[in-house]
Amino acid sequence: MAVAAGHLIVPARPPITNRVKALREAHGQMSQAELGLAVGVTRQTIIAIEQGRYSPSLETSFRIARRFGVGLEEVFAWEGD
Amino acid sequence: MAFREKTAWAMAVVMLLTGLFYAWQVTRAHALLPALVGYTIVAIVLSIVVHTALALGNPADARAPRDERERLAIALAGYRSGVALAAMVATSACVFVLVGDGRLLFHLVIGSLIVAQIGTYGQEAWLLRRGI
Repeated sequence: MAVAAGHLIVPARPPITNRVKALREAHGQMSQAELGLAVGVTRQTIIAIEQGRYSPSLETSFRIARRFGVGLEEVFAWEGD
Repeated sequence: MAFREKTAWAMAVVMLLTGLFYAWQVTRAHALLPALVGYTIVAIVLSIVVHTALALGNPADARAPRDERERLAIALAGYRSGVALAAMVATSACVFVLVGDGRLLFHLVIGSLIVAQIGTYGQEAWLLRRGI
């Protein structure tokens, strides 16, 4: 459900895929809570990111990428039009 | 369930119950000021009890600041409820123009505030659970 509320536009589902779960598991089976603590969000937000229900801010995206020691585009990708 | 989601659901229930309490007072034709004061006291006490209980059960989560997703959910829920509140208050004003009952206007405005609060907390909980 896309909502236009003044200047606040919320897309129906973020057109962005991510490899957060795969990278997290590849880094010593890091827990969602540990990753959340490392980047400054809750475990539930990490869950929402991994499930594609939420697109993190640019800052949080960079924090996640830096936590895994990879570039931003190795974590997130834009879905084809 | 995230702490913020728990508090949102809990507050939605508190607002619903206290709203029903207010409606009950209205149906019993209580005077305006005592009804409003009674509702306010009950709402404040229940809110404190609920928040305290949840915080005692999750002290670390209660102290943690809201993260970006929670802030977005709160902002979106507040915006939508604000629009709904404005519509309800405007409707109440129209009813007053047509009916001319000041007591009814008072209850419609208070009722609008209560409904808007229920909507705010309900939406927060829904957005945090289902995604933004």
